[in-house]
Amino acid sequence: MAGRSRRVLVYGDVNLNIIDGSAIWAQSTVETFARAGCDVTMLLKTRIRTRRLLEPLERLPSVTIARPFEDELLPGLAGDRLSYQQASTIMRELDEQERFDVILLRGLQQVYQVVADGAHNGRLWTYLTDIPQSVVALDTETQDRLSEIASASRYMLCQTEELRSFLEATVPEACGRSVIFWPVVPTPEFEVPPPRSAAGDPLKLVYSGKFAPLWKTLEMTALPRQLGEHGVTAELHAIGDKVHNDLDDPDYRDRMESALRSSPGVRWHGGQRRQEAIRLSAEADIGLSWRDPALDASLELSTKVLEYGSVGLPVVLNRTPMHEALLGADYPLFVRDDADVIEVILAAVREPTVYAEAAARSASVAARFGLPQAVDRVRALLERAFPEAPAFAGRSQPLRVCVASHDLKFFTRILDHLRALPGLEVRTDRWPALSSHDEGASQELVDWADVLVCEWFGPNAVWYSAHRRPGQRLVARLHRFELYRPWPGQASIDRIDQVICVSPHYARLALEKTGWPAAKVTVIPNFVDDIQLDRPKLEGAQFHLGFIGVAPARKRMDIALDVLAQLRQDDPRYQLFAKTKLPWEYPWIWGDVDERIAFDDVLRRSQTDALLRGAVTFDPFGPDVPAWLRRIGWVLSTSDDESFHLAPAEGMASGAVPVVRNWPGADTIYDPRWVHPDASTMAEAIADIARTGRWADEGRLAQEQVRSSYALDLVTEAWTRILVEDLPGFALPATPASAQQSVASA
Amino acid sequence: MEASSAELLGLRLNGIKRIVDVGTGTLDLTTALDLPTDATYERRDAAELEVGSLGAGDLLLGLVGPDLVRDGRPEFVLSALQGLAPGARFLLLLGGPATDLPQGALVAGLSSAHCQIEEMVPLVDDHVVGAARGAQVRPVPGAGSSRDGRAAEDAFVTALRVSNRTLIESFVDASVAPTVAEALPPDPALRRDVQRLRQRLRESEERLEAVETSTSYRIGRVLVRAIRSPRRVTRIAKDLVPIWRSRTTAQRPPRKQAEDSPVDSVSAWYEAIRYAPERLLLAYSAGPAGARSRLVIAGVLRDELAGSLETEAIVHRMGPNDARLVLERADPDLVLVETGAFGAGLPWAFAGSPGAVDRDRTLLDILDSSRALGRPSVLWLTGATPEPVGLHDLARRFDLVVRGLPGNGDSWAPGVPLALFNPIDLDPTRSGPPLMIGRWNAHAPSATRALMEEFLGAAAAEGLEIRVDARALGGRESFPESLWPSLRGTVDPLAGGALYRSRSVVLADPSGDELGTLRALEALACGARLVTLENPVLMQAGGDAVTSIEDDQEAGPAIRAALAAGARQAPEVRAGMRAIFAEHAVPVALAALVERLGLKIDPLRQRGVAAIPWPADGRDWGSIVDEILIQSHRPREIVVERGFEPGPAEHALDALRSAGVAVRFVDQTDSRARLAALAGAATTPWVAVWGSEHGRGRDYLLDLMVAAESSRADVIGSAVDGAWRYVDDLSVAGSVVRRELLAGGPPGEFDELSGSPSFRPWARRGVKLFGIPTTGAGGV
Repeated sequence: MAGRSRRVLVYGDVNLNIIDGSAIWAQSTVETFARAGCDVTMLLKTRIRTRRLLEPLERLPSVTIARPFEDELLPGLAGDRLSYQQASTIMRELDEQERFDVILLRGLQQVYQVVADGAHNGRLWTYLTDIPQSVVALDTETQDRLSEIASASRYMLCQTEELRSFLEATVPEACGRSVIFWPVVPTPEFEVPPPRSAAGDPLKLVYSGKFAPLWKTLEMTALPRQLGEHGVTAELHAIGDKVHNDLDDPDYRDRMESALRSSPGVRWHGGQRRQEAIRLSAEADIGLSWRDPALDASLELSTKVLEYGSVGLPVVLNRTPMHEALLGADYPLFVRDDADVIEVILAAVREPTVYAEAAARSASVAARFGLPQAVDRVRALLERAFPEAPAFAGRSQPLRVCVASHDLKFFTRILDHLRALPGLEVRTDRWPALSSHDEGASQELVDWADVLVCEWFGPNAVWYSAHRRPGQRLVARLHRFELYRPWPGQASIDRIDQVICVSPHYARLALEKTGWPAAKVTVIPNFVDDIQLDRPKLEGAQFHLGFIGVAPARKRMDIALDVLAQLRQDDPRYQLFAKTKLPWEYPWIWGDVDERIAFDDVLRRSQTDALLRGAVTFDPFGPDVPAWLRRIGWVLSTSDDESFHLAPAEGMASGAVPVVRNWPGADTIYDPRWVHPDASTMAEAIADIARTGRWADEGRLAQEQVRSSYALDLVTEAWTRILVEDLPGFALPATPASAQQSVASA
Repeated sequence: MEASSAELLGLRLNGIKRIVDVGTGTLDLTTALDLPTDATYERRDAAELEVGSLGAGDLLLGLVGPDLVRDGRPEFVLSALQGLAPGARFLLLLGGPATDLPQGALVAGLSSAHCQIEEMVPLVDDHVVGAARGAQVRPVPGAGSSRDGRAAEDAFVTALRVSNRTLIESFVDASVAPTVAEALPPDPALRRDVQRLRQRLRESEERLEAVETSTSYRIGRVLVRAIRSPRRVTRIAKDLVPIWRSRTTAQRPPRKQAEDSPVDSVSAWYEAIRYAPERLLLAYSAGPAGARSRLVIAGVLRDELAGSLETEAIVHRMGPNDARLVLERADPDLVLVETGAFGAGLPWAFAGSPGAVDRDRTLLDILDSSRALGRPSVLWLTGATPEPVGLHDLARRFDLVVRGLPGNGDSWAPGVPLALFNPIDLDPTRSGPPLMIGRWNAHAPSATRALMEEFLGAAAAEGLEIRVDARALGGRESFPESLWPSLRGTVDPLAGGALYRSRSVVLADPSGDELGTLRALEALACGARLVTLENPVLMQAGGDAVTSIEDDQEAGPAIRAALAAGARQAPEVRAGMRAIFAEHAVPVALAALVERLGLKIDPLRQRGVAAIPWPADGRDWGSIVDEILIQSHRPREIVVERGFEPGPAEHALDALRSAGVAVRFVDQTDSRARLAALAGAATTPWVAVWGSEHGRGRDYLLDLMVAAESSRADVIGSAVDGAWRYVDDLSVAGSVVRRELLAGGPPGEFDELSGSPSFRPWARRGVKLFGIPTTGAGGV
């Protein structure tokens, strides 16, 4: 990790006196950040009753435990647990004493309190699992709160991909901020037994966690007896001390405790430190994590499953889409109901190959969630959040950068990066419209800035080129439509240091149209947030064609329909999903009768053509493109012309295969293997790849290509450099290799 | 109406005998209240109030406000609302300023306690800006649909939330500081008077505007003008039309005053879609047409299920983009959602999972819309193992959830569409290797998959051919490699009838899910012998045609035995059809579904038959009645001519009535018109021309109706050659005919067939005739 140690404050609405998932999360999170090189302060919520989970943290030199009650962090603090307001107040005071770079919080109500207090906005890393996890359960008030939280967060940490998908789909502000924060399995501090090839005799089952009805713990205590009836001698080792009080079943607690104490074959070890709990598990043969199906709706992953796997135990658990994605659909110890449990345990006992396969699978999965892997992930998040200072950051004054534009939608991530860079100070001149601005405000920015950046080569570039100061640097980005307007001719190129084009094709067109010197024009492609887009595909995505943005008509959705119809002649499983605003949502498009005619044709055809009926769906427009691309196996680009066309690049970053019509310049941006002359060859290419089973491989190749050419880090690095120096001018002729080279060498 | 707290309490105490004050703040409500002497007053701790301990005659009094010290803790007051039982009233004074009210907590607290605000009253005291007055209410029982208590509770609480929130928000909006123009005099009494007068004036103006713009008022004006001026009577219709139009076309853009384009002109169309473009999402879909004589279903369905149901119901498919439009157009009897439609390769892919939350929103929209229409919703859990995680919450919003796997109390299956799967044109010499149409379920438990592979592997040794479901996600590649040699391409399951009819032995899909059982039943209906892993449904339906085995070791011998037994012959197949018709066909499944929903629709009505004894002269009524009463598929009614009733044998007709067979009479008419008249008096879709031939067995009518449902013919009767096939001639007597054809047909227009009238002229006109073997005492 570059630069100084980052200061991190961790607080969760959790009680570290009780060993449950949330407490273990807090412990492992602190340890992970500490080992990632951070100075971590952990604020406790409760008075200390047991040090089981604290002791390992206290041994780490970079960890400070803030004890609100023992150290009276608030005057007159009474009781034994902090209220939301008290915690927020203490955090603010700690932050005022010495500013934290990261404030990592868990718990919806607590996070909302902190956000409402407004003290740490922009530095929050928020981890929420106690939120409604279905559209049915999500009420408006919670949704509004999540929006506020998202807006105030640098990162929203999501325990699973499913939770991230759900969050982004319901809280638009979470898009671009949500990252995966896997559970962490601690490194065993004892010698782990070698992998077993078969279950022992007697068979040792282990359960570690809370004892509650939906966790099937009462049913587990009957397993030794039930297995005995099938001739298998078995023991159940139960670890934990949290027995649930069930309001609907007041006797449950007594029955559960009685079963733990006196059921035959059951040994209750009580509450244990985490390492000890794992050590006890390592002595067993099979871990139990089967639960009531009501819990299958959770979007969270049980850490227990991973802990069992980390010591080589096969695990009995429910068959859910998440577990299938982790362990494979053919994992042998999935259960659907209570009757399955005995069956799969007997299978594991009687068939060593079943046991060995399950154990190996479980261990392999757990290995991805170890502490070293978690530390690497945290370091990557920190590097992104706190990018390395550029070379020019050593100046005596920060470099002052003004970004002027009427529309920053293609520049936001670059802007975020520039703002995060040490040694830079960034201001924006937001023009309300293409041609209107507050001239006084713009002049003030001219007087203030070292560097002027015009996003879009419109009247903003014309004005700034006329008003720039000597010694000031001015760069302007030209997309596409500006080339066919008078502005490039109105601006004096001598007063502009460099013009950035997003593709070699448009760089060439710009030079041809304007006659500018070649050195004045450089290519920095649009960026693709490859890390955000890299998500596992949903099962069956290979049958789904994706189309992003159907309007205006030059996007040629009719050609996409041709491709789909040809594919469906042989395979009715192909579908076309278009993520888009509908043309009538753009008044300037729908007011054009030619546009209406074109889209009317598209809809008529999709409803009347027997090959297309029921196969074309328009998905809602929104920023959740990365989550949407999980369902897409192929991204189509069928336009008449484009300057760059982000859609296939985003698809590539997601692992989808791009299928690009040869609009002018397409082969200068994308590998010609993806570019095709017409709908028929596009469809043939898809069918051929599918028929030969190469879809996944081609998707991986596409992903690697986009990472090496258009990854966000590459593009932001180029933008950082162009603030202080010229990049190589555009050189003709353009090929994809040279285009990639021009970015890579820039 | 504004009032001081004292006036408020005085005005609202009718019938109140006890006031229970649960306020917790420092503001003493009693100093502001002018309490009557005949109502008791007590201070109570909210925590001590037992649930439902306040009832009719009780008033809960509290103060809710933003100042914790002065107003107390709002959550205590709101929790006290749980102490109310239906009939109890509440009065919550609201501490100011109004903009600081904990609106969310108020709405949530009131609604969860089933409390409805009846009125929000602005007040002019220094600290209390208003009051919420209301009562605890009981939900109104839902009518007609069966829904689980949780869903009904949710809906009721949601309705309360909407109502309470609307009133509170309006109150807060109205409480925002008045403009300078509305500045009030400084004297409190004058201020109150001015506010009161302003409020009354606003109310009067609102009432006047509502009246003047109401349709009834405007229609009344038209009528009054007509009364005053007789010449205007002729213009009433013309005057009323614009009023009607203005109610329904509020969103229509202004029409052009210039020359009108023809209705069907291209440019007019493109102009029209400019203003109502959303309709384009359905504009080119015609939807099913026809009379509303069958169950109407709006569904989120796979092609396979939709195709099955369409044979017996009117099915409107809902896609993610046009669902609401389809609902509006279809006005269905029920909404059916199949989770098998949530699979990849389908428009609703990934619904129920976090990967497609937008689909879930659309489904919720469908459920809300159907509920608003008063139409029940059914969720059929099929297809996916494991189930999408979001289904758990989604399922609770449906009125009925059924599962595809039999054996559970909540199981349901759509049944066999006999129009697609039947033994018509069955080749008696058919043979060939055993066949299975299905898919590989990669998500089945390990033990099941192992058994599947062994079972199919043993069958492969006997030459098994597997046709893969063309829509199955896994396709060929999902099968174990050991079975690849048995794969013979894909097939649309709806088109599987021809394949089943070409083989003597079919294997039931061994994955044991609902699709496998359904397809096996279809194969049975097409005349196949079935070999299956243990499956009680198939064994019950197929009898001797089904060989059930318990493990893969038995598969080979069982298949060889089935092949050796040869193709089932037509009489045996048709006998088997009776059980499928009676218990496993689509109309039966739909009837079971509507019964569970409590709908007053009878999908089995289309199987209804009226018996028409014809010719009637010289008939033995006793034997006619006996024959009718022994029918396993009993006619719903009998139609006879007056003058031909039995007279002294009246008891024969009484026996029919007692057995639930309605007796209808028509006036005598000439012989040429008689049959049409008799048919015209029937109320069932079919009429059976009960000829004078003897020896009808108990399955006589059943066999004709099985053939009717399978063939979709208009006339079904005895074929001379004894085959089950379409024919060009049938005798009138002894046939079952569509009622509207017989009732509307020209009388006497029959040819002679072996000396008796026949339907040949009808066949020449395109009416479909279907012949079955003579249905004597031996049945088929």
